[in-house]
Amino acid sequence: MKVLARTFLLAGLLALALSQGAYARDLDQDEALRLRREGVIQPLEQLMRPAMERYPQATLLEAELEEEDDVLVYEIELLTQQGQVRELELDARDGRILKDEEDD
Amino acid sequence: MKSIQRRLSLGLVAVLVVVGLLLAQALLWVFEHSLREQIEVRLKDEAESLIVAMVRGPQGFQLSEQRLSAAYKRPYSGLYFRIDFADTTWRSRSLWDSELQPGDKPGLQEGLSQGPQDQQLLTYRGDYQRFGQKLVIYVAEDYTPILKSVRNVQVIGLGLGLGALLLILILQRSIVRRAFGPLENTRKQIAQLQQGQLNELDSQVPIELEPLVEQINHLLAHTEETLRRSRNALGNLGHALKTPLAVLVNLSSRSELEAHPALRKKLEEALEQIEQRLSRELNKARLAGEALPGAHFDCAAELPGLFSTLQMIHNRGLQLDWNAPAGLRLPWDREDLLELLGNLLDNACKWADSKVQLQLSQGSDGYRLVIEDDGPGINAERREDVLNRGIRLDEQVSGHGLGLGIVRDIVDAWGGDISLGESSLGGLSVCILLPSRRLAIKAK
Repeated sequence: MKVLARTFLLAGLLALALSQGAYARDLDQDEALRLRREGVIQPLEQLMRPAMERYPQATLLEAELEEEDDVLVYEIELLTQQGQVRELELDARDGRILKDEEDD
Repeated sequence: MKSIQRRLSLGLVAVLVVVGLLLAQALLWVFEHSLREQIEVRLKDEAESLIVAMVRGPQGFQLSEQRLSAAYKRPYSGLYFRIDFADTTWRSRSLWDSELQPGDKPGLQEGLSQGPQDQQLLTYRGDYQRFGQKLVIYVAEDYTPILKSVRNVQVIGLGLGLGALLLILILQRSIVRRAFGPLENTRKQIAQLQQGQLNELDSQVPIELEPLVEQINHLLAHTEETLRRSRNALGNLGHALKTPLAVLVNLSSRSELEAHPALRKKLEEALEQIEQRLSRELNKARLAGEALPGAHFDCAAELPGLFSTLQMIHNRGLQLDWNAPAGLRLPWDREDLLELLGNLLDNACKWADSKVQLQLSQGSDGYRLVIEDDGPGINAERREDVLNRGIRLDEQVSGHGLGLGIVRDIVDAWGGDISLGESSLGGLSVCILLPSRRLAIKAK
């Protein structure tokens, strides 16, 4: 799994470096569990609550935990009931919705 | 009042509810059990696929990305795994920051464990050995969709069950009503029996009613027989006493008694009383005929004969009329009614100038018999008197008075009412009200 995560990481790094040029790192599920246990971040389930209120009965398509300039941000994709895919960014510490846009 | 219908319904509902619930619960259990078995097979398959996906990489074991199903990669997808090695644990990405509770024995775990996003997880545990290592693989699947469909099946089943119950109750109601139909027929026949339209109940009834109908018919026959016998006995007694009585009357007028006129008078009086009493009791016994089934008086058949007899007796050009609704049948003994009408009509004929009229009608609560003449009539204040005195006279002197004694006896025996009034023809009107059978019996 470590290897797997590292491949992800590399791919993510590469993608981010190309698109934004800023430093960003994808965290894997084991890191997410560790950070959650340590209390650094809130459980994803809890963080998603405001987003789920905004889009009732939406389905979680993908979730990625990213570290951008020492800030932990969840990038999630929701499939709304209307069949639209929304891309949201949530603050991993308190669940604030940082970004909410239609997937492009 | 206890209702057989309600009792049957309650019994049926209780049985159906108990049996229905048991059956539904058993079916549901079987259904869920087979579902779980299917899931167990699938999860076992998944666990084995995970072993296949384990490959030796440059840094020890790893899971081959290509052999892993996509559901393990999407967070909270509903399909999860956890692989426990001696020193480390791998979790599927789909678990993300949540954990999968380990179980203690191999195979499908008993209960459901709590998963992320309120999922209920059914977990399978498989113990394997690979690459010289012991490893335990847990594969879990979200069970909530199945729970939801089981709940749906329950709701639909409940609805169908209630619908079926309602249908069964409605059908049962109509079946019971139909089953009790013959009983209603029998009741109607008993009423007809009372009205004198039938002699006995129709014995062509359902088997269940046969004993009842048979018993009633038997009772009728028995009553009739007893009545006839006691009447005969009284009649025989009367006739048996008549001859000795006549002998006594004859003896009382013998010349030997001429010397004792007081004795003779007392003797004659006593004998006369015996005679009168005897004839009254004989009449009364005959009146008991009310209880006879099938007794009736058909106006159209009987009245013409009665009137022609009266015409013959009072041969002085009287105009005698009667009218009654077509087909009127009075539910009393023919002989008694002939006696009643005969007495009153005879009386009317004696006093009438030229006309005597008889009117019969049927009301909701009984029958009305009115006899009128155009004779001198009786003053209003004396009518009650005559009615009473008539009886007294009649009791004491046979063949005198208004002949009302026997009439009164008959009317009383039937629970009726007699009254005198003024006729529109100018003379006396005698009005008799006879309650229909059922009322008469109730009044008693």
